[in-house]
Amino acid sequence: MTKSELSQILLCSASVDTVNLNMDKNIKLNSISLTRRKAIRNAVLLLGGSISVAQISPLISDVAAMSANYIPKFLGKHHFQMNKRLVDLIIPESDTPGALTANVHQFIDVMLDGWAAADTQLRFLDNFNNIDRRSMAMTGKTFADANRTQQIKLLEVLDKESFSDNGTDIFFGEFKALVVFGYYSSEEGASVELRYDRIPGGYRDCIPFSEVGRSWST
Amino acid sequence: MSSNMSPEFDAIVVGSGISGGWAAKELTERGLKVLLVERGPHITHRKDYSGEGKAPWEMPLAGRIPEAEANRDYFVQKDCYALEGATKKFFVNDRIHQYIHPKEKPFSWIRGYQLGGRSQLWARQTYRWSEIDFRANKTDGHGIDWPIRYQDIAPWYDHVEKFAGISGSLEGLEQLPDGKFLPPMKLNCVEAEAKQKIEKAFPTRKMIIGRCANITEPTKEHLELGRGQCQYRNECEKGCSFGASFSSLSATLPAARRTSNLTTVTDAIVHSVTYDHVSKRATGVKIIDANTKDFHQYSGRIIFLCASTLGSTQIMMNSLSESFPNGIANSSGTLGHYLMDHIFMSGAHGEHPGFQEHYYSGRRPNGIYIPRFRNVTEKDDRFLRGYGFQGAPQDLTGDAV
Repeated sequence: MTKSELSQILLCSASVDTVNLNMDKNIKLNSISLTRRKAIRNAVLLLGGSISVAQISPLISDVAAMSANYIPKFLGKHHFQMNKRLVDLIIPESDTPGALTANVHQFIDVMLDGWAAADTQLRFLDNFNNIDRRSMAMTGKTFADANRTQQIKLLEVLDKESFSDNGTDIFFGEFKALVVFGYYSSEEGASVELRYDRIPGGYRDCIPFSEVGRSWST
Repeated sequence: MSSNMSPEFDAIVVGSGISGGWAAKELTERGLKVLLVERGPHITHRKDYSGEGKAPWEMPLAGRIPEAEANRDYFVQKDCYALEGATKKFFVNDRIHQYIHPKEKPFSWIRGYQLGGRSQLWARQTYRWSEIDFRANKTDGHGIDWPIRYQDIAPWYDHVEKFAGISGSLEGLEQLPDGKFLPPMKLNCVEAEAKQKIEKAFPTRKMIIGRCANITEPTKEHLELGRGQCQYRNECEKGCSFGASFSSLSATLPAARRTSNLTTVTDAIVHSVTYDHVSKRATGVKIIDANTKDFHQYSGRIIFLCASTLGSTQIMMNSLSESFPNGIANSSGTLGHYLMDHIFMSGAHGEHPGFQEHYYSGRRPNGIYIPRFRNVTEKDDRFLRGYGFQGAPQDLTGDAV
């Protein structure tokens, strides 16, 4: 169900509210025999339409701020470009949206600005600089200036270091985790690449995977 | 206040969490004029559930609490899985509400100071004690024998389950009595197979669906209070506008209010219980206004302390009089001792491969339960008694089920 569909249902219930719904009629919900949409509508109706559209609409979120004209809040121009390349290489565009489409590079900047404590901010900056140093040593170029093959080669090394049992440098794993978190928290990652259902309305315990087609994001 | 004046209220209930909500409901429904005192602010069912129904991309910082804020204001509360951006307003600020404990005895005091208290946040698992539990002290000689038995409390269990809306399966187990349940939530196909395999390998053990305070099929009583069926969102702690998740705000307080016998005061911190040494009765409560810091007193014939284990103890220890120099009803000096916490997050896990072609839909706000088997169906000398075991499935290809 899309957000607009839900809003329609809730709007419709709000208007029915004035019909003075009699709660004593013992409206019995049976989501098995009804469509899910109808079930949700009934569920809202039996509450006398008391859930307002405003309640289900988004809080003032960071998503609104993220756009093509995004101006980084925390990262400098150089680091932001590097972050953008890293994000794109970690979750590239495929038959499903990539991390850039989901604005994850902007999400990283938003999180470093609004979520990260001072020590986390410093750790990210230090490690971005370190990635540049490693790139210089390997290719003679900064990470953003290196070619795609060189970038991937370096990331493979960093990945191995980060996820090995005696990993000395775990930053890349931390960065990757934030990228994955950002991606699967985005509308594209959570509801296009994966599946998201705001109000499932019921529980079906055992269905063919093909009915859903992809994993649930929540 | 003088003891010969008639009290303002028939009963004063301190705290509006699960037990306070119940006390307010039961007393008002029996015609008593009740004052409900809550130390936190007033919140309104539905209207104040600002994080409810929000997708991650609709929450600031995708629902995360800034690290600096978490370290500064929620350094204890962050031990609770339910703390996140959408729920933080229902948890106390640890910077403001500090406490001390011996270093070698850490204690995570998870608190919610608002109307409804922690009933906004609880995990809703609801199990009966059995005759085995009520008799345990007598049977093994540890502790003092309980003054009541299962048969004394069974009618109350019936009453509570029907009103709250507890869903669960009927199992006929001696150690885990069945109750007046709504239809059980379903096990998914992996859980159903795990159940079958566990019960085959261990014929003395059971794995069942959790028994939880989420309405699977509303009764007339639920509907009359504006409570509907669970929508399987699994975000009960953000507030449930459907009223399917049991809380003081969704259930007991609306029931108490409709009697017109309830008076509620919020932002009112109970300092102590007042006591009259002539009549030898508690006469009311002394409160501190959380905003002005002024003292007020309320008088009542009956005082119910429902301010949580530690909160109620603190109030009793503060209630000093010539008759009770160590706190009211503490002539034995036992008050404040022998506190034990739940054992939490210890246990076992396993992976079940397969089922690649199967899935579920809906986010079930409930897990599985393994009723006690040690020293019930299996003799085990390593344990004096035993334990029940709550569990949650996780889809390793996706997120929590």
